[in-house]
Amino acid sequence: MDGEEAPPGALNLADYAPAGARTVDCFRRIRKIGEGTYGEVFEAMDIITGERAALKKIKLDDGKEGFPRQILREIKLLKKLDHENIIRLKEIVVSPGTAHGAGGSDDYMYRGDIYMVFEYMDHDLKKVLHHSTPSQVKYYMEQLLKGLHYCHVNNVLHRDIKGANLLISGGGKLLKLADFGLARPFTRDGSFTNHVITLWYRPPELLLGATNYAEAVDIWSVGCIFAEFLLRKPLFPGRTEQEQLSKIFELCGFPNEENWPGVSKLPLYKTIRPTTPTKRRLRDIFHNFDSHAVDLIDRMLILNPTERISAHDALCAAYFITKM
Amino acid sequence: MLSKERCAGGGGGGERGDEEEEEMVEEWMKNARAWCVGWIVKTNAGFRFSLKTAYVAVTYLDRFLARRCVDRDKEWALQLLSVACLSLAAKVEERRPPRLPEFKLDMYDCASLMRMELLVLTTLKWQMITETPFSYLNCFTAKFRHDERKAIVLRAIE
Repeated sequence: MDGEEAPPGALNLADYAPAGARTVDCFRRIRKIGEGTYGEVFEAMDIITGERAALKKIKLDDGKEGFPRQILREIKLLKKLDHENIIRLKEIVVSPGTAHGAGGSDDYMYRGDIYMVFEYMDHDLKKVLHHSTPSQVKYYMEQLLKGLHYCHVNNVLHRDIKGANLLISGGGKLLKLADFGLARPFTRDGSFTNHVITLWYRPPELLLGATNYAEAVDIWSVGCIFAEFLLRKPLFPGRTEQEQLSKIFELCGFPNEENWPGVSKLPLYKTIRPTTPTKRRLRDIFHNFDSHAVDLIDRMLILNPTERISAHDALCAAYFITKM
Repeated sequence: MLSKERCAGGGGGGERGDEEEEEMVEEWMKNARAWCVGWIVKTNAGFRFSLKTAYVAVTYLDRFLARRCVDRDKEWALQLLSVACLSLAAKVEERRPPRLPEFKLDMYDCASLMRMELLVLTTLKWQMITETPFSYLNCFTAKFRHDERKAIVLRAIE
């Protein structure tokens, strides 16, 4: 069955995909949608079912890492998560490879790649972040929090909530969390890297160097997005980590042991200095908005992460109970 | 080499009488597995990984062998398979998984090792389940008296 024998050390390429596994040839490429850290994303169509899908190509560089750890973790998480507000990983397909061994300049465009096949979504939230009606905003926020609550209940931190990672479909009716490339499972006593979350949406505890953090990091990002919906511009558009912190403190007040016990022990606390004794004045910039919305934002953007509202409590907030 | 998908279910097949041959294959597979497990445990200890990592690696190995078998004259594939299982388990479990050359296998280049990782991943249908009995150990021991817990855990992981 094997055809020619592979010499020790070189695996038989014919075995690349196990018999019966689908390959990327099951899809017809339509267009390139975007570019991620690990490779390009394509819109494609399943040749058999006609279903549209987004194919994320994983670059494998034959490097020393082997199969990329980050992708492995993302796949593991996505396989575990099953919720209507979380992007569904439909399958993973491999390129069929060639039976002629490595090297060679064959024109096979897919050779040696792995594709993650996701359900297709129309666009991301970034596109509508600055022009959505209040009722749409409520609808998006509810779905975002539902998806996030599901993650948190399953001990998964997303760690990169931002407009580009929230996908919209169904004529603006459906929102799903995507890109779990930075996500990871957490335990209460775990300590992680703090180089996560895009700067504008990064919470103060991470900016101050905390490595022991929890669900609240995602909630801060949600609060920033919520505020951006209302203001129609980013809330804290910092260019450096320093500037990011000052923008936050300007609106949320300066952290001290009183309003945030333990903050002075964070690695970078000593490097920051209050310019003027700032008081919290976050609500002031939202004076013309729905007070329930502002209440909720206020509770999402609390400096002390242990006091920040949880996704579950946020979903029970008056904002979601009241009609427009 | 690892080509044969085990004829799953096999239905009404097996009317052939070469039971002896079958027994030999089974015996060989048993030894092969034992060798792989031995290598994984030994290497796992060398890297000072947690016990759970070795456990997860062995579950990958077993799940792989349940779907595919290694031909008898392809001993070298066992080595490659063991590395792939341990490397994948370390990537999922350990904070600092080793890079492939750290496994110090002069016979194989990184590309071959990665191919094997891929073969394992596809054979496991990308289900990187890492739930092990250890996950339940804490819940279980919580039901016992405080001073007995440690002894139970130690006995359980023997």
